[in-house]
Order: sequence, then C-alpha cells, then structure tokens
Amino acid sequence: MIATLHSWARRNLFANLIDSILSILIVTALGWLLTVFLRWVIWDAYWQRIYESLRLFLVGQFPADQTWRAWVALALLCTAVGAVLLPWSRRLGVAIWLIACGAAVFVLVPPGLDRWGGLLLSIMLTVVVSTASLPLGILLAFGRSSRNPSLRACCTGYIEVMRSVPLILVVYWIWITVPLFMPEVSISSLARGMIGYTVFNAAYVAEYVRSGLQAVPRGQREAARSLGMSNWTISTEIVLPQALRVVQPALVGNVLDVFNGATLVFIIGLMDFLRAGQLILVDPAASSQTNEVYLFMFAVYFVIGSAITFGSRRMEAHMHRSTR
Amino acid sequence: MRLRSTIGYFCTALAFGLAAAPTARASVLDDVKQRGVLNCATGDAIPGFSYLNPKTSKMEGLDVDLCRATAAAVLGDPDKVHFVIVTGKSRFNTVTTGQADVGFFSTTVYPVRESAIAVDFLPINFYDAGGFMVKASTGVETVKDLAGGTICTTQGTATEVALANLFKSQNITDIKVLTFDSADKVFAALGSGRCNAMATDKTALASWRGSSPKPDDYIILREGTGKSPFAGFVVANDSKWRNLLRWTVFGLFQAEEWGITTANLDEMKKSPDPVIRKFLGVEGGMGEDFHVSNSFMADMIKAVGNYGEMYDRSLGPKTPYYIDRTGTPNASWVNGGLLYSPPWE
Amino acid sequence: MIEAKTKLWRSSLATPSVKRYVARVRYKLTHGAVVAAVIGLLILIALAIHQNLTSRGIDFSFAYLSAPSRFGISEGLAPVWTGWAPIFESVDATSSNLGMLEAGLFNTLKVALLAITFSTLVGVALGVLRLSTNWLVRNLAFAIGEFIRNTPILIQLMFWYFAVLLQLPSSGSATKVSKWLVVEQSGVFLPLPHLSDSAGPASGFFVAVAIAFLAAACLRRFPARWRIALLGVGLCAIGASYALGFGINLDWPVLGRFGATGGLHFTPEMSAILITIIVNSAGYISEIVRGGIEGLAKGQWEAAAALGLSRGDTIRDIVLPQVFRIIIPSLTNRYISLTKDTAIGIAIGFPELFNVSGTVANQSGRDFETVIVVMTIYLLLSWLISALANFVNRRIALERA
Repeated sequence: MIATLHSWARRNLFANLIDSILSILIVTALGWLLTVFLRWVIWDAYWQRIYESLRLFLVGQFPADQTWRAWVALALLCTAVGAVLLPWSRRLGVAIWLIACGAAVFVLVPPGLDRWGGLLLSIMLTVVVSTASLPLGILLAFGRSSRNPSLRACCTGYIEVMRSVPLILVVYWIWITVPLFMPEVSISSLARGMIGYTVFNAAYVAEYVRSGLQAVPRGQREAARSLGMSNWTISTEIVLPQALRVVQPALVGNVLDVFNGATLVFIIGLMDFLRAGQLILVDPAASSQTNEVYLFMFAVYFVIGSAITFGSRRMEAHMHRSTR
Repeated sequence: MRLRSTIGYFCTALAFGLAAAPTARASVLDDVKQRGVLNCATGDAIPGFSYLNPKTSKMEGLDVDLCRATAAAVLGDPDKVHFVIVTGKSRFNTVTTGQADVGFFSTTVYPVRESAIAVDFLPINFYDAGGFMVKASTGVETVKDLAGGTICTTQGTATEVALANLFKSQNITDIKVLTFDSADKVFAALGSGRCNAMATDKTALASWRGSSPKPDDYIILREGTGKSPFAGFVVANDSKWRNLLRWTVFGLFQAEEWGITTANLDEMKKSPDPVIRKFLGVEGGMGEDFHVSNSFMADMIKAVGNYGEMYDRSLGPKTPYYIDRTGTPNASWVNGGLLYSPPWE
Repeated sequence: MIEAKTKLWRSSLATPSVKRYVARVRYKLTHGAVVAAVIGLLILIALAIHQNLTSRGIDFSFAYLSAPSRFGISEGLAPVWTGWAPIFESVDATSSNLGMLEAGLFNTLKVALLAITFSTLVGVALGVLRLSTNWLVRNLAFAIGEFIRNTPILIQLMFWYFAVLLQLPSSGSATKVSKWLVVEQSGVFLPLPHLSDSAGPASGFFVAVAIAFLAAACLRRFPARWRIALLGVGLCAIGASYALGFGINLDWPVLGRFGATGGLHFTPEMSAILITIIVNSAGYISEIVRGGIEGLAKGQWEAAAALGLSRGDTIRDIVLPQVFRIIIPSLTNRYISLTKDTAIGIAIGFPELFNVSGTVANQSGRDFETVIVVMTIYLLLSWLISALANFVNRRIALERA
C-alpha cells in the first residue's frame, strides 16, 4: 500500500526536479489558502445572513403560504431528471420528462408567473427554455440541412443571425417587441423572457442537432428510401433518433449554458438567483457580508453546474461504450 | 410537390402576419378592468420609494403605495396589483408598449420625456432636488472640489442629463461620470471608494445614508443639480386613463387636507359637507364620470390612507429613511407646502 | 403525377438540355420568390410594429442619431474624420448619439481584441498544463477550467468587480506599488510612452531607416560581416534621429487627490470585464486545446521522443503548430462568443456598446431604432471575425498544401 503510494507519488509528483519544485510550491500555496479559507468559513463568516435571506434566495417573492407548490415542483423535477437518466426505454423517459415538467409549471403557475423568483426562477426558466427550444431547434436543423434551397436559406439566416448577437440583446428586444404584436394581451415579463431566450437558444440547439444529422451515414437514408419509406418516416423514425443520440451529451451541455445564461434576465427586471443575492446586499446591514453572499452563490451555481456537466460526461462515456 | 407545399406554408404565415396587424386600441382603463389586475411599473432597489425588503420579501415605499392606491381606486382592491420591476432604463418603454399601465418610479418630470418619449405625467407627488453624497473622509464641500474624481449615478435618469448641464455651466471638464444600471450598485461603489460622489435625488441619498450602519460617514452636499419633481406616468394620448389617475393622486392630497384617514373614514362618511360626501361616494359621486365605482376614493383611502399616511409609512419618523416634511414643498399646501389638489367641486 | 413530373425535371439523364435549362430557371425563380416572400413577411411584421408604435404616439426615425446626446460616459473614444484619417477623441454631452454609440463600439472592440489575445495565451497555457506530467498541476488546471465553465460568467464579473477590484485600497489613500505601476480603486495606472514634441518628419525618417536596418541585421540569411555592418548603420541612424530631436517620453501616472491621473489608465470596470472575459474564455480555450492535443495521433509524440526532443520542445515545435490548424474553427466560435460576452459590461457600468445603447435609447426615447442599429453592429462584428478566421484558415491550408 505504502509502496504503491510511494511509486505513484514518484511518478506523478516528483518525476523530475521541476515537477518536484512545482509540487512542493503548489502544496504549500494550496495548504495556506485552504487554511485561511476554512478559518474564515468556520469562524469569521456570518452565515446567519444567508439563513435569514434563504427564502428570497430560493423562491423570491413566491407567496409564503404557497411554498408547498415549490416543493411539489422540486419533486416533479427530480422525477423528470431521474426518468431521463435511468437506463430504460428512452421514449418513456422523454414522456415522463415532458409530463413532469409540464406538471411542475402547472403547479407553480397559480400564484402568478410574476411571483417567481430566486433559484426557482432560474431553474424553471432553464427547464422551460431547454425543453421548448428542442423541437424548434430540430425543425431549424432539418430546415438548414434540407435540399429545398429557400427553406435552407431562411433557416440558415435565422440561425446565423441569432448566433451573432448577444443573448442579453435578444432577450431585451423580444421583451419590448412582443407586446407590440399582441397589444390586447398582457404577457408577463417572465413569459416574454422565456420566449426571447427560447428564440435565441433554438439556434444553438439547431446547430447541435444538425451536427448529429450529419453524423448519420447517408447510406441509411438511401437504404430506407429503397424500402419505400416516405421522407417523413425516414426523418422522424430513422435519422432523428440516431442524430439525437449522438448529440445528447452536447444537448445536456446546452442545458448548462441555458442555466448560466439565465442570470442575464436581470435586464428585463426579473429577479433570478444572482439578482436576489445582489438585492440582499442592498440592505446596508448586509453589505459587510458580501463575501458570504458571493461564496454561497458560487457554491450553488458550481454544484448545479457540475451536476449537469457530470450528467453530460456520463452520457458521452456511455455512448462511447455502447458504440464500441 | 415539396415546392408547392413550401409556398403554401409561407402564404399561411403571411396571412398570420397580416392578421397580427394592430387593431384600434381602447383605453388602458378598459384593459385594466377586463384583466382585473393593475400592472404597475416600479423598482425594487430604492429604499423609501420602491424597495423589495429582503427580510419580508415584500415591496414597500412611497411609489409602491401609489401603485397600490391606484389599484384600490380602479379595481377596489389594493392587492390587485402586479409590480412590473423596471430599471431607470426600461421604465418608459414598459409603459409605452403597454407592459405596465402606469409607472411610479421616482421619475423626474421634464419636457423631453413628454415630447419625445410619449408618456404623459400625472400630478407631481414628491418634490425632490438632485444632489451629491460624498464620504465625509474626503473633505469635499462643493462640486468643484470633485475635480479629477468620478461621480456615479444611475443609468437612464434625469441626473445623468443634469450632471452634463451642471458641468457645462460651471465649466468643469475633468470629472468622470460612471453610470450603473441600479442604485444599489452606485451606493456600493460609493461605499468602496470607487466613486467620489453619488449623484441622485437628495431624498434617495438621505435614505441610502440613513440606512447605512454609520450614517455619519456620508455627507450630502449643499449644492445640487436642481429641481427634481417626481410624478407617475402613463402612455400618451389616453385622456380617459390619465384623467382618472390624475384625480386619484389629487384625491390623496385632498384627503390629507380634509383629514380623512383610514381610521376615521367611516366617520367622515357621515360628514355634512356635501363635497366630502360626494368625494367619498356616499351620495352621488364622481367615480361614474371616470368610469369607475363611485366609492373609488373611499376604497383607496381605506386601503392605503391619505398622502400623509402613505408618506409616514415609507419616509416618516418611524422608518430608517426619515425625511421631515414640515416646511418643505412636500407638506400639504395648507401647511405651506406644494401638494395641492384643485377643488373637487 | 406531379411527383413524377418533378422527378423528370430533375433527372439530368433523360431530358434534353433546353428543357433542363427551363426547369432550372423555373426552380430558381420559385425559390427566389419564396425567399422574397419571407423577406416580405418580415417587412410586414416591421410595418405592423411601426403602425402599433404610431398608434401609441411613438414615431420611427433614425434622425436622432445626429442629435446631441446630452449625457456623458466614463470612458470611450469616437473617431472624428478630418481628411482621410480618423482622430480618436473622447466624447461628452455635446457629442451626437451616433458618436456615443461609436464610443461604445470602441470600448467593446478594445475589450474584445485584448481579450482575444490574452485569453488565447492563457487558455493555451492552461490547456498544455492539463497534459503536465505533474499530477497536481494537471488537476489544478482541470479544476480551474471546470470551475470557470460551470459557473455563470455574470457572477464571475460581479465577483471580480465588487468583491476584488472595489476592495482595493481606495483612491484617497492610493497605494503606489512603484513608480511604474499604481494599483488602486480608480484603476491600474502604467506609464504611457509617447513621442516627444520635438520629433519631426526628418527624425521619423531616420527612425524608419534604423528599424529597417536593425531588422535586417537580425536575419540569419546574411553573412555575419554584413550583419555587423547593418547593425552599425542602424545604430548610426538611431543616433541621427536622436540628434534631430526624436525621443520617447513616458507619461507618468501622477497621484492626485482622488487617486492617480495620467499615464495608461485601466479603469476598474474595464479591468473587471477584461479579467472576467480573459479568465472565462481561457477556461473554454484550454478545453479546446486539450481536445486538439488529445486528438493528435499518438505517433507524433512517439516520433518526437524517438528524435530525442524534450516534452516541452515537442509541445512547442511539434504539437501546438498542428493543433492550431485543427482548432481554428472552435477558436473562432469562442472569439465570437467572447465578443458577444462583452455585452454583460452593463452590469458593472462599463460603457460598452450594449450599455451605451441603453442610455442612448432611454435619453432619446428611441428604443426600437437603437436596438436595430446595435443588432446590426453585432452581426457585422461576428461576420468580420468569421471572415478573418476563414482567411487565416485558408492561408494555413494553403501552406500545408
């Protein structure tokens, strides 16, 4: 045991002079940093502030007597994620995902979309946007790889324009334009934010899906055609399932991008998790807890982000195994 | 085959595009009544005016109360209000594009806003003045002392323009102006020392100062950028809606003048004064002429009180943001202030 | 029936060339018409919005762009055209709205260009470190990249600005690190080199001569004796230019009441957004570089090792040059994202294009017009970057051929 550890250290930490010096320097620096950090976290930091503001952080202005809705939604989302991750029938998984996410939205809607806030808003925004941009992205991807030149030109134009402008600009633009289309209907800021974000994200999803479509060998399409299948059947039954399987890890990675980008909705006055943290710091009594608030937010973002990345990597590894 | 179907799709899309062309617009009042909720544009980071209290997760402040008062007057219930949170930058287009029916957001009245931005202002509900707050330790006393420094303010505000004018008139060239998207960031930057002065309305400065753990660290300069009267705003060219809201605000002033409060409302309803009786909708009433319930003033006062009560709740002596009204333009005109309602009959 | 006909048009074997030609023209015309219809639809939507705006008392015109802006921004230069060459001048409240947007674009470009340069350097370094033989270095580089990619860029920006840069010593009690470098809350100050006033065209000519000769002296293709001669002439030219009054002066940062002034000044907003974008993009670029290196055939490493090259030399001379060819498309995408990421500068008051456009829109009441102008500018920027990358890619491909 000691011997293997010794040989491991020799190979990985002290292979040569430079490596040895580097290892010692890094261990010292990291050790010092960790000590300072942990001492602050355990003794100096005032975590009471986070605890007091937890409600604003997690659900924003969601009515206090309706908090059970948030818990139900959380349970439903966990079910949805579990259904997709479990290695059973893909169709069933997707169906459960759709139903559970729909139910979560349904449960949360009664107090009003404008009452959503904090982490609840960030997560629901991510769920809705990534779910809604998938079908739109698939359509755009088929459009862009279609042999019909006008359709191709339009889809390509849309994708390229959306990929060239910043998210914050698209969200802001859609937010001010939507009411001009539908002057009679009042649509909440959050719904408009979701529309804007979906419109933007669909272009990215489309590019992922298109790379998947390209990965499906041409021969498959030709073989299916020779069997007399219609174009529609070939696309939906043969090409798309394979393409989606190839790009599944990338699509999960895209969910992380959506989650991280959701911070930008502050531009249309929504209070997501990050903005909630900033508002907590507005209270001058809390302003000396800047470090605590930022550390907490970084930790939450990092945990969620890592979980999504982990999922994406696992899918990729799984795929490589199964294709080999 | 595929070609034709494509053309078919596009024709359908085209037809939808045509159908989406706008129809004639009715008054905002009708929309609000139909919807049953008032969309009110306000902020969430200006203590004393429009502020989301992180401890209670509730909106509070004078502007927030004005929203609630409007909801009470129009719909009879102060809770039938939905706060559309805006920033200095987005407040006007939120109202001009109909996402909010009215805006109360510490908004200074000046001509360009009515001429170019297409909003109409309601009566002035607060008289403020633009000012500067500096850290006491810097020893700054006048704006000229700030030469070589940085003044911070909020983006899209009247202060931004007022600063440029002040510099020009005083021939100051070496002061930088840094703008943030919300006031909390400006105060944070002042506190850290990035900004040598925070420029905004003096009452807002006072409330930021008052809320600080050590108010004495900050000084508000005598000098300022001039008048800064606040008023709510609605979309232009909708007199039905604008007139109702105009008189709603006047009603708050009038109620204070008559001394009608939430507590004595029922008593006042028995008043022999026919104007008060009409004002409160006891007999006859003005609501009908404005296309709302005759008891709209009574509903409003019952929900939020008169102007004085609203003021005390947000900026009164019991709050951390106390700003004394006596002897200032913000007193009722009977006490020598500028808050004046035209006669109600 | 129709299906069969369509097939007949397309079949290039069975039909005579005239018929084929007619079919092709017809095909193109129809599709052209469809595209035109889509454009028409977009115009219709625009008209609908326009009509709606008019009904709300808002008119639509771009005339406001030439009107005075009436506000100031903290930094930014706009080109002023006097003759052929633009002179960059700082903007103020008398500058037009267009001038303000130009100053915003200037800031965006400034950050984007610096960030592209430095994030590539840092990213490549981080990517190479991930293949280090040292376990700690390898995993530290991995952890840093992972942390950066798994948290939103906006919180990183907030952190750098509010929790790091604004915690520096405040301007009143400026810490002067040295004569060369002043770091404080109002920013980072460095000496700025500039030409002395007495420098004239004649001295400029000698400087050009000196540079040419000295550069030539560095070339290995000339024999040693020539190179010494070239060096001598170059040094003489330097002397001549100095005698004619050419010199480079340094503009030193001077400590004032509210911190330093003068010299090369990076404001905290600029520094924060620059650091954020460099660090963030470096995290992504390191992943791209690692992917590129791992994608390279194992044989390359083995061959280099067989030739006796050290690991460092192998990476520098064998691996990286090949990796760059592979990763140019991914890098281009990253550069475009990075340019778009500058738009979050609005969150800390950095006057980049999106931020300035917000103020312009608000103070003039021209939201739609401004959004259209800004969207167009971002589109052009992205296309410019893609075009440049394509150009580089083609050059490299040609070299390889």
